Parts: sequence; structure tokens; C-alpha cells
Amino acid sequence: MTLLLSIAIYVGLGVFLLGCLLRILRYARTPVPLVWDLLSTSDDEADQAGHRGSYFEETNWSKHRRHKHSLGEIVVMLKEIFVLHGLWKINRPLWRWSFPFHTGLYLLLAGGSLSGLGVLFHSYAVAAAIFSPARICAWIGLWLTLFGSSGLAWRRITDPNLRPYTVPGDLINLGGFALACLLILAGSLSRTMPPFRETVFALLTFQKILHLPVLAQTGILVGCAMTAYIPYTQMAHFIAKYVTYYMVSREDAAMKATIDAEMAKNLAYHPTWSASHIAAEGNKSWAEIATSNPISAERISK
Amino acid sequence: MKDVIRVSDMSRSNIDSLCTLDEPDLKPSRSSLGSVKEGPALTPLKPEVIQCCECGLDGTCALNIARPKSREEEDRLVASFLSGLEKLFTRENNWTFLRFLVYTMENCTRCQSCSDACHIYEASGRQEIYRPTYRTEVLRRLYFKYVKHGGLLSAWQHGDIELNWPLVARLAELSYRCNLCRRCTQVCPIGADNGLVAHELRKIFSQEMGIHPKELHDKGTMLQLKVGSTTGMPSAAVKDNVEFIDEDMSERTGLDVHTPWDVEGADVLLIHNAGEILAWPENPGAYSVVLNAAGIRWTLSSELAGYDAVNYGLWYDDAQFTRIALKQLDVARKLKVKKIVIGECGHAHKSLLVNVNRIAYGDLDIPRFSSIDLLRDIVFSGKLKLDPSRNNFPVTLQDPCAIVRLMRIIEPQREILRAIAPRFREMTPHGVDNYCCGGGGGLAILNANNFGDWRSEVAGRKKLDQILNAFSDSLDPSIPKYVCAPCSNCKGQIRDLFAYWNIWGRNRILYGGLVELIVNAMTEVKPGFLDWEWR
Ligand code: SF4
Ligand code: SF4
Repeated sequence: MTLLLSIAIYVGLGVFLLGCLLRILRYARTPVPLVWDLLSTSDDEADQAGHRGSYFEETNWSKHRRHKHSLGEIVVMLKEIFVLHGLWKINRPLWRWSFPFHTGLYLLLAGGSLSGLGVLFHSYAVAAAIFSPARICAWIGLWLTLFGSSGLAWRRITDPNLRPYTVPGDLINLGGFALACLLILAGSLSRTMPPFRETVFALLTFQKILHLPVLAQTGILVGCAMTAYIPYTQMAHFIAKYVTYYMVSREDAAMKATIDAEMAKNLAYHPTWSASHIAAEGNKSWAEIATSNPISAERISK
Repeated sequence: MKDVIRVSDMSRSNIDSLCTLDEPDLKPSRSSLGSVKEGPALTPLKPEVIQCCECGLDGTCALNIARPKSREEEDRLVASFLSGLEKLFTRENNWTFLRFLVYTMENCTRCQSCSDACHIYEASGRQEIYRPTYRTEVLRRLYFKYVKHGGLLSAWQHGDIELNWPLVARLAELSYRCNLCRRCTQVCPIGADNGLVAHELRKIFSQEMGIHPKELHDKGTMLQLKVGSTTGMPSAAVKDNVEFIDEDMSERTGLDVHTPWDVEGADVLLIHNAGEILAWPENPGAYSVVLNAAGIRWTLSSELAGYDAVNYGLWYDDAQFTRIALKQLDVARKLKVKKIVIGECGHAHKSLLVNVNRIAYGDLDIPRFSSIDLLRDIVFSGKLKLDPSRNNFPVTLQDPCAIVRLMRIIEPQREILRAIAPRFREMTPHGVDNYCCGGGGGLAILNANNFGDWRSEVAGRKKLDQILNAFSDSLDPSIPKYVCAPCSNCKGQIRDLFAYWNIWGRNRILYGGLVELIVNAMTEVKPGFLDWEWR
């Protein structure tokens, strides 16, 4: 059984990474769009002066467009990632559950990464110093994830704002996390549960000899399935947000040549929109359409 | 208690409205707006309109979509919608916004944190159909079902929906119940964009099905591409009108006001929203006064689209948007001007300073900036002698969403007002957290049936409340007050809002642009440039 668990862990992780990669590629490969983003609150000097203005407040701004990432922007990003600052500001009741849920996941991620590191240095003295924070992270992470996901599921069912927009998938997602954590925690409370370091080492190195409580085994399997499944749901918003809003859309100055080339490619596409005023006719490019005047093709109704 | 309207109700086959807007539900109440108005929120639609048009959403009707005469026609329309839906998610057809759209479709966590950011949702008494995520949820379910061809598993993961003609017709109307102000986007923790969804839905209807409000299309972009301006004024008429404005300005200011036309190589090509010339002529007139007094080498253009910064395509149709924006840039290129300056028009700022940027390359990439920045530079250059005591009346500032939230031009207008209007006070909230006037996204010019009532009762209600609160210490009609709205669209909406609620009669609150206040403070101008007459 533990061999199966080891395989599940690596498969789960592999599918997760592959899913993330595919998602990144899918968004990154969408055509460079027209500029539409809300300007960042912290990407230039005007903002650092404190009133949240942008470079558009200067006459002649176009001569020295600034799209550089600043310290302020990084702070905003970190606050968003680790304390869910936006949600805290606008939806405190949800934040109370969402924050522990996300923190729990981060801690599980940290616990998992440290465990991997611990296994690598297993034969060195330093391993003990790695496994003990890993254990703490995993332990707190499991409780927080359990607490947060159950709370979120409960709110989804009871909050009149959320209920009409809750689909079975939402409850299964949250329920899956809660179940995995619950089972692992219940299993680890059992007297037959081996010590953390031994368990992790056995699981990550395909040892068959380990005997884990059935509850913990089931919990690990559910956890692996959930990990593999994340990138294929809206739970992977963390990836897409970076790709769409930070990495690509604000780099006009730095990537001018690339963007011009991408735009030339976009303008060469042949749209097939059917409305008569577009006059696409299946054989005109965007560039031709954008520089044509549809007026002869359509009557103006007064 | 009212029944909760579900996403699936969009497919309801009866023709009744999904919701009714009852006055007691609307927020704030009429009495707290100081109004003695009585009767229903919306003038009932005429029976013949209900009979022939699709008005099954909310008791108003912006599009007047003709009701299909047969089952076959319905099926054809649904097929056309479906074809548009598929195209919306292809790079060939929608490279312009595909990335943000797919992002919003696939990543929203349905947390509803954005709901309370929307003034329409709030003012309507939280009607479900106006929740920012409602129309997004409809599109999302259609996307997963018909574009991604998800089966049962997908329905379970994303929700199911029945696609039929009533849904399509309601969705078309619903796409015009959003100001595209993106206040909801700003608060979304993950950056999903419900404003964009309304915009993209409008595109399916316009670009595939040829369904659009007449005011935006036939009398908007098409007219502009035909005669040069959405006002219908050809070049010669514009020149005549501006000549008349010059004469009037000369008389009112005591200065010799002359507006230059088609000056090759000028430092600045100023492009106004041409609606100003007809509706608020003192605004372009005041620009002539200020730019001349500051010694700027500037010009207007009399070329097609060169004298009208308007670009309604921004709100509903990418082809129309690019056509007009490129024409405007081409005018500047031919005139060999050094810069383009956009007059006091929010969506024109967005269109020519932001959205067009990536397709304006080569010799079309002419430096462009905001007239508000230029005015700030002029005011603080010392070239004008200004007497703030001439503006000694309460002034508040409307923050146009396009200029302030979307482009973050926040301080220049405030610096000016603090310097020339001693009784300037802010609305709450303001700056990037402002509320839309209720006319954004093109709604200010939509007037079919009772849509004007909807704009004043629902979309503009929050703004009216904000304005009245900003002047709460001086609501008495003996004190004249001024809402400075540096955007033609906002002015149009505020004009209609004030007329509807009798604000001028009741409280003597006038509205106008920014440059008018500057001219009113110029010592070389005859006192009393602002005439305090309702228009
Ligand atoms: S758009 Fe954003 S704030 Fe609104 S429901 Fe979706 S994730 Fe939540
Ligand atoms: S864009 Fe503005 S009007 Fe539209 S849903 Fe969002 S907040 Fe409401």
C-alpha cells in the first residue's frame, strides 16, 4: 500500500506541475491584447508620492513611459499573496475562512518542500533541523486547511450571497481538501502512526515496509488527487493572475519590439465576424478592416 | 420577500420581466434624496413596445430587439449568437481581449466580493440581475458548455444553463445595464473583470448579430465615419459653429477670441468631443481663451473624425473602435502636429491614450496626452492672472471613471481646483474609488423608451446622492453650486439626472467642465463668465 502511496504522491505532484505549466503556456500564448488593464497603484513615482496617480499625470508622458516594477509593487503583491489584503478590505466575513485556508495551503507547501529537502539530506545531521519545522508546518497547515475549507464550504451553503452561485464542484473542491486533512489528522492521532520523519522518508523513497493507519493512507490519496486536480480548476487563479496581469500586460516599454511584432501578427488575422458593417467577407485582415470605411456597405438609419 | 432570481431564470420562456424595479426597493429612498416625486420608478413601457420588442429583463428596453416572428427565426438567431460566442474565444476574431476574457471565465472564484462595489446593484436594492457576476456567470456557463464542449462533469464543475432565444435577448439587454466603470474589477482580489464581460457580450451582439443601440452605432460610429462626427456635423458646419462660439466668447470675455483651424506643424492638435460644440459651447470656447492666453501654438482639425474625439466603438465593437481611432491618429499625422491633446472627454482619453496604444505604431505613434495635464501646467505656469475669489461658490468634482480609475489622472484637476476654487470639496468616496455617474459605457446617450428613467432612477442614483452629500452644508437654492465634471459623457448624464430630479430648480446646482472655472477666474476676462443658466 505504501508503494501505491509513494506513486500517488509523485504522480499527483507531476500532474500538478504539468497542469500549472500547461495553464501558464495557455495564457501566455493568447495573443497580446489591446491595453485594457487597470493601471497599477504602485508602478511609478507619482504613486510613491502617495496619491495613487500614474504617469498619465505628466504632460509628454509618452516620451518616457515608465513600466518598471518597483518595491511598492512587490509589497502590494506579497500582501495580496500572503494576507489576501484585497479580500480583507472588502469581504471580511469571507476572509476569516479564506485566510486560514490559503495560509494552510502555503504551510502544507512549505512543509512538503522542507520534507523533500530533509529526504535529500537524510544521512546528514542537518536533516533533523529540517524535519522539525517541516513537521510543524505540515501539522499547522493541515489544521488551518481543514478549518478554512470547512468554513468556506459552510459559507457557500448558508450565505444567501454565495448560495445561488455555488455549484456542486465548489463543494466537492472544498470538501476534498477538508476530507484529506481530516483523514490525515485522524490517522496521525492513531497510536500506530509512525513518526513524521520516518513516514515522510518512506513515502518519498518508495519504502514498502511502512505501516500507516488506513485513515492516513486514504487521506494521503485524497490529498494527492486534490493536488493533481487544482490546476484544472479556478483554484489555480494564482498562476493566471501572474501571467495576465503582471508578466505580460505592463511591459510595453521593455518589450516594444516584441509587442510591435505581435501586433503585426494580430492585425494579419482574418476575422470571420458576420455583421455587415464589419465587412469581413472572410478574406480581409484586421489591418484591412481597421483601415476601411464601412459606410458604403451600410445604410445609415436616421 | 422577493424570489431570488437564479442564473437559470435567464432562459425563462415567458415574456415577463425577470425583475421589477419598485421604488421602495431603490436606495437611497426618494425622500433621502430630498425628492417629493411620486409614482413608479420607471414609466411603464408602451404595450406596443412590449408586444413587438424583447423587453423581458427589467421593465426597460435599450435595444428594441424585434421579437422573432417564427420558431425558425428564433432558431436562426440563437445559432447566430452561438456562432458569435465561439468566435469570441478565437484568436483570429478576438485577439484584442481574448487573454483577459479567458482569464475571467476560468478564474473567478464566485466569492461575490465585488457585488457591493457596483452602484447599479446597490441602487437597485440589490437586484440579482445587476450583480456584477450575474451576467458573467451566464457567459461562463455558456463558455464551458458550448465553447469548451464540457459534458456532465463540466456542468457539475461550472454549472449548467439552457441556451434559448429568451436568454439571448435578455443577455443583449443585460449587457447594457453596466457602465463599464470597472469599480468591481478594481476590488476583485484576483483581478477578474466583470466590466470586460459586459463589453465582450456587446461585441457578440454587434459584430456577429448586428444588434447594437442605434445611438451608439447608426447615429454614433457609422455617422462619425460618414460625416466626421457623431453629432452629424460635417466639417463646414463645425467651422461655422466654432466661429459663432468665438464671437460669443469674445463678447462674454471682452477678449478677441479666435480658434485656429488646420495649422500644419502646430505644437498641439486639440480634439474635443464634438458634442461640446453643440451642447456646452462655452467649454471649447474656454479652451480657445486659455490656450491663446497661454501662448500655445495649437489647432483644431476640420478633417473627418479629426474634430471629434468621440469613439463609441470603445464600448461595443472592436472594428468600429480601431477604424475611428486610427482615423483620428491619421489626421494628426497628416497635419504634422507635435502632440495630440484630448479635450474633456473621458472615453476619448481611454480610447486615444490607452486602448489604441499598441496598434498606433510607426508614424501614427504621435505623442498624446490629457488636456487636464495641459491645463494644470498652464495654471501653474503663471501665464494667466487668476483671481480665485471669482469662484467663491461651493464646487465639487466628478471623477470620470476612464480618466481617474482607469488611467489614474487624479491630482492635476485637484491641484487646479485647490488653486482657483476656494470652496472646493470632495465627494465621498472620490479618486480611484469614485462611483460612475451612471452614464458610463455609452449609457448616457441611450434614450430608447423609458431608458432615461432607468439611468436616473438606478444607474445615476448613487451619484446624485454623492453630489447632494457633498453640498449638504449649502443645499439652499440661494447658494449657487457647481459640479465640475471634466467629461462630456458625465455632463450628459448629470444634465439628465438633474433635470429628472429637478436639482437645478430645487438646489441651484449647476454642472460644467474644468476649463470654464479657469476662465471664470481670469482677471483679464470680464467678471461673470459663468452665467448660472441651466442648460
Ligand atoms: S469577480 Fe472577483 S470578486 Fe467577483 S466573484 Fe469573481 S473572484 Fe470574487
Ligand atoms: S463595471 Fe461598473 S457598472 Fe459594470 S458591473 Fe462593474 S461596477 Fe457595476
